[in-house]
Amino acid sequence: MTAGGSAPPPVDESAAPLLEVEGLTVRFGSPDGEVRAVEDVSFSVGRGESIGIVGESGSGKTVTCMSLTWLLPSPPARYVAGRITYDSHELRRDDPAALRSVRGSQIAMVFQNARAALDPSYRIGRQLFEVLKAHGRREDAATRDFVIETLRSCNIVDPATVLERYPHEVSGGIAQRVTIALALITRPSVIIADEPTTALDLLSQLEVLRLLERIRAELQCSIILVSHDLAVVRRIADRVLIMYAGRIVERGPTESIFRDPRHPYTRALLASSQQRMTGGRLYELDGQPPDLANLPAGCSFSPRCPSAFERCHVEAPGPVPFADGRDARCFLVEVGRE
Amino acid sequence: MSTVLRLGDTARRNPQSGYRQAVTAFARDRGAVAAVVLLIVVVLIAIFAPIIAPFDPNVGDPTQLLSPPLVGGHLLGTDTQGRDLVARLIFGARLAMIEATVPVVAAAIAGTTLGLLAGFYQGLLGGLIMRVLDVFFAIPLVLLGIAIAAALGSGPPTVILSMAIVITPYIARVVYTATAQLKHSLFVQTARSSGSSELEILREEILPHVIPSVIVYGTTNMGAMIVFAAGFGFLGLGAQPPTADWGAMIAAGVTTLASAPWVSTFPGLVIVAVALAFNYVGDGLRIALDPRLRTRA
Amino acid sequence: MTGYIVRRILATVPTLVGVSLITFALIKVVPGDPAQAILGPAQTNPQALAAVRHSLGLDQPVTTQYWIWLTHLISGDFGMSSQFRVPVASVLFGKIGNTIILTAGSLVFALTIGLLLGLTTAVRRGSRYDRFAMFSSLVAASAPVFWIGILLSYLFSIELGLLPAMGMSSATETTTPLTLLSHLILPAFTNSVISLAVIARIVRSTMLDALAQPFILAARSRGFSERRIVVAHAFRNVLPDAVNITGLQVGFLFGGALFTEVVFDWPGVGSLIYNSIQARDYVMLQGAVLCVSLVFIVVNLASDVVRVALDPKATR
Repeated sequence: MTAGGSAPPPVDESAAPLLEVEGLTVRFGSPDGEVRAVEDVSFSVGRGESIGIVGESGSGKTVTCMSLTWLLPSPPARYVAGRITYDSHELRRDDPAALRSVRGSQIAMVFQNARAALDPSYRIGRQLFEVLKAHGRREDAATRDFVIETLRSCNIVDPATVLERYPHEVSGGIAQRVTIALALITRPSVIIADEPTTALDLLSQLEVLRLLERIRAELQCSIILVSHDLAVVRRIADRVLIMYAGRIVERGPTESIFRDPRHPYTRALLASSQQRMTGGRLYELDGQPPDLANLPAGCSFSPRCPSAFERCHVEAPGPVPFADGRDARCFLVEVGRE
Repeated sequence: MSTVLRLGDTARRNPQSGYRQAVTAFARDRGAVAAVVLLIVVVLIAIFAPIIAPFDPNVGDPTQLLSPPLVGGHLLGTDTQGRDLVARLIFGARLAMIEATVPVVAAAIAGTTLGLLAGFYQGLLGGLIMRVLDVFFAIPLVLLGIAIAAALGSGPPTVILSMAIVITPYIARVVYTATAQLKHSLFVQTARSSGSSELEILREEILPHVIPSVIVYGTTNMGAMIVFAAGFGFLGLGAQPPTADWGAMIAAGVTTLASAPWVSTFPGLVIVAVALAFNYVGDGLRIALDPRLRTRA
Repeated sequence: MTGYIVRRILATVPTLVGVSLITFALIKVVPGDPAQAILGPAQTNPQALAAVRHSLGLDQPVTTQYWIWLTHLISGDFGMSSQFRVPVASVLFGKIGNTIILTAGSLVFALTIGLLLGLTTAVRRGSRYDRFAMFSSLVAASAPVFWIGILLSYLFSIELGLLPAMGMSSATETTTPLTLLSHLILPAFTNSVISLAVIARIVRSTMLDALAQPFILAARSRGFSERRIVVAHAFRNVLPDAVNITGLQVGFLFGGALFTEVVFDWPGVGSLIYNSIQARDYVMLQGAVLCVSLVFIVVNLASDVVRVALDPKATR
């Protein structure tokens, strides 16, 4: 299923999911009205499983993954609803101590813009030690060796030198690898990577993806990969969630989605990505990206959907399961049409 | 960070709609609107002082020396000479408003001219002007003003002249920075290549974009001017007794502070209120005139 | 960087010359005849007046007068005070010391309280505390320094009797560092109020900017405590700006000391200037203005150099 590299550990589907999200709804206040960034998002991640969340900018994928540990400052974010369960315990927003112990040590994040995720005033080594110290590790020779080994395993060629550098003194590729190192240094169970390859050139992208696969195999941690790029997701993810206007519009095992996309938006995404790669006619979607402060009545995608009919403009479809592990928010599926 | 306030792209093509946008944005700021109302009230009070004032501000009642507030018909009490505080505050408003506005207007004219010249003709002339202004920046503002007023003799005209001299460099610097930036902007280059004379460019292209900055700077600093003018009065350099001067009123209450604290307190409160109002108006103008700031908290 | 420092120092020379010109001009524009002022209005003998004028060098062309004055200045001769009848220089330098003490005290207040306010309001943005603090700082910045001083002295000195209201030392007690401190508190705090408000607002604004940076969110995602995030990461990045504005405030504090000294009868340069104005001792006034400007220029120069030393990228 996933190309090349070491085989991922088999996912035990009968076991309880490691991370479970139910009914997450996040909104933001703005001068133009309330922005509905994430609406009623629910999904789960199994131990060792890798999930891809795909969507364009504004789809709510970043807000979703940041909300998994209630990370966004609230104001301006408004957590209207949602329940997060990690390792069978509820992760409550009003329990800062629990959040602090989970963040960075059990659930770690890799950010898109690597240099922006590093404090420009401190050396890289200092920031790595800081994470370890925050989670109980002492700063001594053994720790230092550990840090160097971690950097080396992230394909950083000269870890000792990098430790002494400031973020602005290293290349973008190294910075990105450092942020990955920062995430895995505490051996977390879940790594959330938000667009980890977007700012990189093609070669580095492949490298980062291979690195993530290796991490998953060796550490047996779950990976949540967020991207707008389907090709990236296809490489790593066991399952994919497609998001549009704050909702999950389709989900399922990766190959199944790629072979048989049902939601019109998924089809559009696939088509445009394939055209880009084969150099054919550029598939274009009509209309504007959704205004999250003024969503249309009915299905959010209906204004742009080539297959929309009257019901779509009036009623918002709920997730309709139609095959093993597959569901989609679309009346086409419900009605059984192609 | 650019010191040039842009009225927005629509404004460049049509200045009228830009100003209309600014006015509506300003109207939405409740603090600024309340402040404008307060200032209008103060101006009206100043204008109609002789009609409104309950007593003669300069004639004291010997039977009511240092009378506390609410006694004997004196709402805010009387001072060491038995003069009604309310009346003196009302008449003092005339002096204060004149001493606050005239210098700023004068300095705005002088400063804008100097700043435009220095910013546009960067070379020798520009350099010379800025060097001279640098000298003025080297002396603390208050000190320079007081020294000038002391040399020329006390009284409102010297106060006004001194303040105007002292503020001109600050306005000139604001205009200089804005002009220097605008000089390289696209529409100035266009105007230049389409054959406009330098004077025309200054007047048509640069001046309209410099004016909002000057207006904001001027209004925000009017509050400081009221305080500055009061400072002159406090030191005895302003209007001489018996004329009512807010700053001098504060000074007059110091010797009897223990027994009659209201004499110094009320003039100060009035000064704070007016200065605060100017600050709100200036802030409101700044946000209204720069579209980029409108959505920020 | 040494190049920058040298250039900066050289740049102050024309400024110094300009300042000397202005101060010189100041005396020249004083209406009235200085000779008459010295001899008194009763003296009407034209020869006597001419003699005094000659001794003052007033019969020379203006440029020569300026040159003579300047050369005296450089050798430390600031002229004779008409109210004290002693060389200006002898009085001046003692007083400057007292003003420096006052300014230092104000700086301590302005910096500590300003930083604290700025930090805490940024962290609690939008709360009632934040709105109250910001409104109060706006009010404080709009109030005349001397009025604040009067109010404070009324409150703490007269009503509560906690602190002395006048002078640097008491005539009745022996002067110890403690008594000096008790006399310093009110004037230093009064003088600091406006700078305090300015520093608080700027620190708050830069903290808010820093807290909005992506690396703050990243730090939070690593499980750091809020305190660590605020202090070690947000504030650390605000520090250079904080140091910068402090430098600017020093000059301002020095200039604003005048009103504070008058209100609290603090024997510094400010009081001296005030008394000289009353006594029409223009020579003293001139010397004081010159001296204060000099200190002002030096302080600004020093703060510029420090700013560049801390952050070599920021040469203007």
